[in-house]
Amino acid sequence: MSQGEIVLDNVHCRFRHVSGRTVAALDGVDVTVPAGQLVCLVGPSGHGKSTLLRVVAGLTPPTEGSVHAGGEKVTGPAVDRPMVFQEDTVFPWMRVTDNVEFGLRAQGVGDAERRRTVARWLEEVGLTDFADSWPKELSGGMRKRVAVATVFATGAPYLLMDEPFGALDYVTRLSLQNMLLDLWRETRRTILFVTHDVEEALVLADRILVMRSGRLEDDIEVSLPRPRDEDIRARPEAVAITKRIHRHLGLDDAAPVAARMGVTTS
Amino acid sequence: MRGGEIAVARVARNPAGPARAALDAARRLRRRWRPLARRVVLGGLGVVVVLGLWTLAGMAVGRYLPPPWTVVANLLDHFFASDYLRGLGLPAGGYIDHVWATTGKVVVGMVVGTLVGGTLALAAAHIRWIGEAFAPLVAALGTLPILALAPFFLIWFGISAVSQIVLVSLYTVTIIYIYSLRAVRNIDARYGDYARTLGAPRRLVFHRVSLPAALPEMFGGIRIAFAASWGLTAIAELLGAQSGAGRAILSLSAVYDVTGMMAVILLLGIVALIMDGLIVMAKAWLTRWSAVGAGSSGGSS
Repeated sequence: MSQGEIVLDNVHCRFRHVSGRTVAALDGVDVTVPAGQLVCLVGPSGHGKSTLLRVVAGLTPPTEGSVHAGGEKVTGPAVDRPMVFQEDTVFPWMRVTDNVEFGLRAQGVGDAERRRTVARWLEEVGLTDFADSWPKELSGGMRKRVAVATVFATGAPYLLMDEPFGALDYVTRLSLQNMLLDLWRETRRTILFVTHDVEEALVLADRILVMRSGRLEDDIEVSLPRPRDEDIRARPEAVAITKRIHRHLGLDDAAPVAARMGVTTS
Repeated sequence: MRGGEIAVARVARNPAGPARAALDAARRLRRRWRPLARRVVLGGLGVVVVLGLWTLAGMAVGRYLPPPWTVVANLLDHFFASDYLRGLGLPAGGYIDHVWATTGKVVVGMVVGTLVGGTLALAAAHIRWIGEAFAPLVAALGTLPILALAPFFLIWFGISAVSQIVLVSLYTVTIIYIYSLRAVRNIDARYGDYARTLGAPRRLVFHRVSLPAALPEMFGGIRIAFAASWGLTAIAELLGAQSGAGRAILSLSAVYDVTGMMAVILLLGIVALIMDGLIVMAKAWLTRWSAVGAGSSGGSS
């Protein structure tokens, strides 16, 4: 699959709330993500990060505007844009191997090639010994590895990740971040990664998009060297980025307490 | 795997290790067997009490409520072949042949009903107009006393096995449809989303996601329909059939042979219990991936 840029052009997404009020989850988003970039979307929950990802995935159609991936207009989900969800979506009724090869099966890839590809990706995520396990026999972190292997194995140029490591413990999250960075460096896929964790964004991203009330509030280039360990993240330019994001989230010291708690009044 | 290493290390460090390990193993074994032993003892107790009451009641009632052992003896006497049953105008063969005939009708009706009901439900869940078209029909069929239809089938299909099979199929279709539809609708939508972002066409989502995800709940419907089907078939046979448990009971009741009637019921109950056990086993195997049940311990990463 050839890789191009992802272009969002004036994307609006309005939902009708139960109360009858119309809520704008996305309110005119314009952004171009060049091929091979690792982009993190940060912002408070309920401010459109996940909706943006679902729109790019083709799961939620925009009410206005358009999304193009590699020059082609997005009209629905397709295998060039697989997604890892925050929730555990690894199919519990399939063994690890069958899970990882699901996307290949959907593309009609032949048996021999499928087996080869799956073996490779299981090795990449360190699950070779668990190929025949049921998901229930794995820990939450291992199941996330299965999901990551599954989307990478499809060969898709664009990978969408919606807070994939959000529910994991600290140590597991760090090791999965490192694994993802390794895989990304190897394959140079375009990755859209939603997170509410500024630290995580700083470790992963080439570029951080800050979302607030359905709009892109800021677009920050992160040119820190990798791996971004504690020392790098303590550099003045890294701290400046953290502060800049915190200011958008209303977390800077000048902000009133209510805003610091994540309560939005807008 | 790591747990094993730790256990070995602990045994090696502790001087009284092997003895203690053996003791632990014994304790573990006892803990595992205790619930089973308890179930067997208490379950057996229940059976003994009922048999005792049955015997006492039999003493009071007399000829028309024979004691259990008489029923069992009668069952064994006429199990495979019986001139007595032939003399009553029944086809050649013993109780087992009649119960077997009923079993055949139940199984065929169940298989047909499950396939049709399950397929319709999956279709209804995926294609909206199908679900809407079936909704009132299923609601009507679900509240209708299905046995009231038996006389119609007798007129349309005669006293052949078809009458009873159609009855069981119709009932099973309704039950399985209701259960399966609910099962498919209860599936977490995210599994479908995930499958679609992986490029799965509708057909693949249907049989690799919807069907396996719905299977555990569908089995609930299958067991309920199966349990009711024995009674439906037997009663339909009472109304008119060439063979079957109901037919045998009808002929035996004409000569007031209560012992024989009870023998047929006993055998039918045993066969139904075995079939139910087979379904439970099939479910356990087909849903062995499910986190509920044995072997669901989590690993470590």
